[in-house]
Amino acid sequence: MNAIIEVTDIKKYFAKKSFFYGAEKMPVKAVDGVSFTIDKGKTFGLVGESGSGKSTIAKLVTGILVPDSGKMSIEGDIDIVFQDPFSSLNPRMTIRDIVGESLFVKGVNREEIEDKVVKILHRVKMKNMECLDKYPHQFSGGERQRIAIARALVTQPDIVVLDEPVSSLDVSIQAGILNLLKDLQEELALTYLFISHDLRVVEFMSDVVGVMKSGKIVEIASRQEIYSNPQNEYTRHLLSSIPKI
Amino acid sequence: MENILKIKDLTVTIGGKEVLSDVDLTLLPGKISAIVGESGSGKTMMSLAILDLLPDVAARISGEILFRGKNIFDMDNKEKQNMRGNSISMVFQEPFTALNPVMRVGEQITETIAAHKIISEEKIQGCLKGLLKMVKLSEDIASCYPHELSGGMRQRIMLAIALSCDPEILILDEPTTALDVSVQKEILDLVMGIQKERCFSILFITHDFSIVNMVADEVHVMKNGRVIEKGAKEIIFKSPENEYTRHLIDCIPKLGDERERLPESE
Repeated sequence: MNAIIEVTDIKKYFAKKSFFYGAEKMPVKAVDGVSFTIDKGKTFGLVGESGSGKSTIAKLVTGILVPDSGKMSIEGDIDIVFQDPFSSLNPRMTIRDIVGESLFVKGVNREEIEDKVVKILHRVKMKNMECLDKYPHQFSGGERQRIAIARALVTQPDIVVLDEPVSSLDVSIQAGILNLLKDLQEELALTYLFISHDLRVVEFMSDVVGVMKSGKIVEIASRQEIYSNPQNEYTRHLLSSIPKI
Repeated sequence: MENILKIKDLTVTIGGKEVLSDVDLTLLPGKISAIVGESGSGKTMMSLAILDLLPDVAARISGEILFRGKNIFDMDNKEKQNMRGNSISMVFQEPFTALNPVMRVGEQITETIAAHKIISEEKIQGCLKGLLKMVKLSEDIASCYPHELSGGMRQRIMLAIALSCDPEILILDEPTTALDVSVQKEILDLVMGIQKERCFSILFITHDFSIVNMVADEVHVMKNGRVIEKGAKEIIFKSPENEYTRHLIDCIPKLGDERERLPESE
């Protein structure tokens, strides 16, 4: 198989300390023995409620956190897009600096940075290049998320972790971002780890879906199966919470 | 049926730009009316106008808002104060910023009751217990601070505050947008249950047509400050006349969606 990410039985516990006495309580098992693989060019969708451990997995896979135990093999460069485009972009930096920062850190020269930043902003359909000298607050939520996507893609990663990339957006803006992510995946042969609490969105985006609850993946199935033939009680509960149109 | 709230030809400008243009809306007793639109369409301005809480920079050019036949713009401050909370109350989108972070949630509920009714402390505590029970929270939650509660619990507290004075109209401004879909369903089921029991009217503001389908009797679709389509929910869903209404319905991914792409605006 051509798995680009292989995660085997990873665990991450957080010590929960009492505020007043410093006495140790039971640890919070944020990620409690999770395994999955993602094939190259595919999307693995992770769905679950807040507190289920989805974002901890995003942080473990991107190396922001280190797992307590378990094995992870990741072939290629990885980058991340966060949920809230209002807090994930530095309000005091221009779009040029936000998107170009990671190239600057890598020591790329100025002209090349400018060239790459302009190209990637075009790709995420930020057409008007006046945006380069603007600040995040001058953009709408959807535009900010496009900028966040550009920032993640400017270093040409192989894998992108998308942690609730559309949950703070209007449904009509959401549609545009989801389409964009699909286009980019095809053009750039990206592999996605797509995280959301909304099964509709996960299903729309993913090839394989994992359902998470209390730090564990309770069900993994293909996009079609998870909807037409859910095996787990909790998956069925999530399905039943979705408003019907 | 006699309407409880009627908005007639309301036009409001901010800095010369029309944020509401010739808006007409009728709310019937015991019914749930939804206002659907994208951010910037004027939904929240409309709800603020109903409580006469528009920002100072806003200017009303024309129109009136009749609550039980009386124009709220003609009311004096005392009448308005009496209307807010007692007759019309509101639940905001973001429960974490709407609640006071340094006050126990129980006190925030009793504070509202004390501000509107002259009753004994003992009775207030009784009301508090009743309200917590109504929103399906246990009594010990009253001594918690907002940060100790989950998003869903905080929104239940907001609901308890809004319902503490038995309003005739409840305005819900994107009440579940900050919540997970499963918690969203719990909150919507709860609201619908209480509404059925107490028979007040709801003005439900949202950007999400799938929620409209769950809750509303009537739908108003807003775009750029105008109501571009309105009617009974079943009709709007079945055969929307306006292209934009259809777009708002179609842009939501559905379970078992066969589509590869979603329709985008413009």
